[in-house]
Amino acid sequence: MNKRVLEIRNLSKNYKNIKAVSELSLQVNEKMVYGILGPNGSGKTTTLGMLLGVVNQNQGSYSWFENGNKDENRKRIGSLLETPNFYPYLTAEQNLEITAKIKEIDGDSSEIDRVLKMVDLYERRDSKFKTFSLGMKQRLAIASALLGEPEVLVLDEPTNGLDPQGIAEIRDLIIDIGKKGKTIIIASHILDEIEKVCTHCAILKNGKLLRTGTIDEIIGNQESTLVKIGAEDKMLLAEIVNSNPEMTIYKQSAVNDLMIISVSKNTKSDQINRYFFDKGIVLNQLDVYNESLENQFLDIIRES
Amino acid sequence: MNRLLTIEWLKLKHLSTLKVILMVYAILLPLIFYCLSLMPIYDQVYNHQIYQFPDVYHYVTYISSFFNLLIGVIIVVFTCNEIKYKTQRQNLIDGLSKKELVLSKFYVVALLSIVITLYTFLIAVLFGFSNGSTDVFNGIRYIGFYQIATFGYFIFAFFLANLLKNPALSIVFYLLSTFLEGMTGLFAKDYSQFFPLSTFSTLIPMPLIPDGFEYAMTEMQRASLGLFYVFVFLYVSYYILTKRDV
Repeated sequence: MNKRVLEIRNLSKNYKNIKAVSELSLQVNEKMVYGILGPNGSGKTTTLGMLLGVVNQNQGSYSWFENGNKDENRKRIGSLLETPNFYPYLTAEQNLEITAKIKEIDGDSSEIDRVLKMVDLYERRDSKFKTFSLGMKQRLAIASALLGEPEVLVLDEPTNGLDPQGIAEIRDLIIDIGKKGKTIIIASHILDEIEKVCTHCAILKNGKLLRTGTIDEIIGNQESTLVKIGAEDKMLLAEIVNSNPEMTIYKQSAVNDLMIISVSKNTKSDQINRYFFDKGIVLNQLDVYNESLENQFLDIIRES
Repeated sequence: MNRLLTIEWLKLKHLSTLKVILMVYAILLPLIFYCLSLMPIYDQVYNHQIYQFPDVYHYVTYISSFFNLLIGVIIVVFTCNEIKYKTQRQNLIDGLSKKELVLSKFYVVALLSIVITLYTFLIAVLFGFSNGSTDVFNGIRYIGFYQIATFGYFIFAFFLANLLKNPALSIVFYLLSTFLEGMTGLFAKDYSQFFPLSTFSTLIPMPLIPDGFEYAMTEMQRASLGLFYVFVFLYVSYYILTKRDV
């Protein structure tokens, strides 16, 4: 088994009467790309804040690298929490010099150059932080997290403020780093992001842990299968579906004749095809619909 | 200590406000002493005695201490900036401990007060010699007291900024603090000279005019109490930070 990187036990944080995080327990092992997923205000950033020593917990404990909550642990973690925080009057390079000094990353400026090139800011290394656009600030924060090749990356909404090309680049970068065997913890409300880059995932709502597991477990953990079907006669199709107690309409397209129906888990496509044919309608489309994490997520959130 | 000072130096060396204010300070201080020495009153009444050792130490440190408000304001701004830019938070996230965070500012404040004191010492010595006196060690204890007083005022600025987090509010309170402490003192007359800011200010009492004030403590006792307050402000700043979500 891989080494334990992070262990959280019963971590809780209250803000006056609001329970921002409530008795959260999780484990993250080496080489996992771990997603923390939740809607706005679900306690993702508060949780990471506690893990990174800036928010005091009311209850519970955490341990990095099986070494408790010592301050020095954070030098081995590259983090981006909430917003890019830099000295506005200093250049990109000067800001990273400070980070390098704090993290005790020795060596020359070549490491700083390396991370600036990775996020495509090398050309702007001598520009002051305050002249940067939101996307550039975000990329500098990612560069800062990558500095010194830390064992663990903690990224809170890493693609915040980036344009589509920037988002794709940063995602590829994260996937690459994950492939190199680094442990990554990503908090996001963008499900697509988690689905694309993570191996494991925890879903939070109102500070409570709803579900954890591998991405496959969470997606595969359904009672029913979704099937996308279509036919010329939309009305008749809907009627037939409604007349069968084992089928329900899950979603109906407004723009074309397609609909997504939910059937019991082990139903095969040919059974479905035969059923409709026997009822006197020919399907012009029949696909098993792989529901995205997004729908799963919305379901899980709704259920609770 | 070296590492923390290097980190602070990286932050400060490109801060143009600091450069400008220090430059103004460095030019203004000797200039003002020179202009003051041209006033006829010094010739007629004091026969230039206050520009000679030992009085020059007392006089120069007293006048300089007014300008330390400038430096106090820089410290407030510098400390509040770290909160406003959330760089304090980032420094923590990147691996500094809260203790190191406070210590690094403490070192800056200490270093600034040492530089200011040395500069003031230099000016005093310059005026002392140029006015024909040579007894350079006479009265030099005022430089030591001045060191403690500046250190005290600066660490108080850091403490206020850390407590209030808001630069405008902190500056206002910093400028009014002596007055506010004086007001409080009216209700506790017997103890007012033991208050922190009074302790710092009585280290360098007003020269020329005897103030008729009865000190309950000797100079050395006042100096020790001053140092004690420095550590109180430092510790309370640290305590506030440990209790706070940054």
